[in-house]
Amino acid sequence: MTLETRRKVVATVVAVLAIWPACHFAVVRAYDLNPWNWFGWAMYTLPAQRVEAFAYSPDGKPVSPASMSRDAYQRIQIAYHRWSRRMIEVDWRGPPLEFAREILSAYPSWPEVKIRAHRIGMDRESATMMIQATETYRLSREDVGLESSSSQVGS
Amino acid sequence: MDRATGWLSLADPTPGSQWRSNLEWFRLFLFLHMGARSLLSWMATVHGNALDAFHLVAVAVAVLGFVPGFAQRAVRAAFVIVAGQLLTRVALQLDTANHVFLEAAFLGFFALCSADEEDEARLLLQAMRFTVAIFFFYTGLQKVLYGYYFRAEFLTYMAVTSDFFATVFQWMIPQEDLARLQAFNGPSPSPGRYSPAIGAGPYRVDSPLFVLTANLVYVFEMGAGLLLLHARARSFVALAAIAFVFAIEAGARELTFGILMVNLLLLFMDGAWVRKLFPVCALAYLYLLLGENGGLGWLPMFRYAPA
Repeated sequence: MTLETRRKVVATVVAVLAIWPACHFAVVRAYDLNPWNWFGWAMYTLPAQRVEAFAYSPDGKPVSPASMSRDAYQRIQIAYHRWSRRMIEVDWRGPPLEFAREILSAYPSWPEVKIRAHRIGMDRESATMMIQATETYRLSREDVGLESSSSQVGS
Repeated sequence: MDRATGWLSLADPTPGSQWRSNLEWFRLFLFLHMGARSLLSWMATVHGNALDAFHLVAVAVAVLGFVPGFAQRAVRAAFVIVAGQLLTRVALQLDTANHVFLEAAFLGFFALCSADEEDEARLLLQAMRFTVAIFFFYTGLQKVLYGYYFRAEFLTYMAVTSDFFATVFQWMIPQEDLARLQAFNGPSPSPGRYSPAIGAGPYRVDSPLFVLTANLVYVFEMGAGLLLLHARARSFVALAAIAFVFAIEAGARELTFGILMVNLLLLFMDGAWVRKLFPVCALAYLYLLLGENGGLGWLPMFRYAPA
């Protein structure tokens, strides 16, 4: 490769590096990505968002650590952590399949689980922590690749 | 040189300066940085997937980079590996640290232009200086676009919800404001961090000095980004930016990022500072590898955010 070609390649790469952060602002907003990442140099611009999720049985019974083994609860926590990270980073609306699967594995009698997730962040106008988006999921055992619950078999 | 690429000469080296030495030592620093960061990442989280392999191969290539005569070949391999680390993280939907992207970009420049050839080395320096200037400018501009610095909302939030940032900023914030906002704090999985309740705030405080400081952050970053490309100002601005990085690290404690940024800014200095400070950086990484909180745990460690 000649020096002149190298110069053109370098100039193009530097130009892309200069243009991308300007696009980053729009892309992050359009796709609900985490502005701290994706090379837009927007880290430390706003408080990091977090997810709070609540999981219930179809009749409104909440997931409770007291009603399951410690191992099962840990698996639920790990699945929740992975999903909430993924929601913040790349895919706010992605269904929590692994999280729901671990919950339904811990509660074999539940035919489905209802999960409500809030994304919490700082509102710019009021400078207060607010719910910025809410998603609700109803996932059946079939949805997450589990066999039907014992209570549903034969019904 | 044509018009399309002529603008790169804005970042030309000062005649008679030690820029060749800085570039050659920066290449060694990149191997050191990549190796230590990859080893720390591997020690902190074994994923049981392709990332583990990428981390371990990165360490091997980093060692190879120090063997005389192998640096240029090793730098090409290093670029492929770090790009692979980034792509794997994207594929696995894991977060992608910005400093790893910077690392990949610089390894890419080194792979494209040899630091051992005068003309290519000059082009390499231009590319790296421009990238650092772009980085600084946008870190400031993004703060303006998001709008959480005008009344110090973001820094207030950090000072209230992070022990590290509290150490840096709490003396500027009235005690009653601090107590009011800290009352909203709940537990967080991260040590030294707190999760405020829904409805917490407003994260605004009655301190003109603090608000001024918050506004000076983006003014400095954008100004530094522009002035780093000004031949007469760049050494002084680089020095000020290094002091700024130290101030950030007092709160952020992202040490691998801090060490990388300081070395990048040393590329704007006339003296052979990358070589002179290389042993200090090597000791710092060794300490991180041997220390608690991410390393082998043999040495006591102040709290920091691992790579």
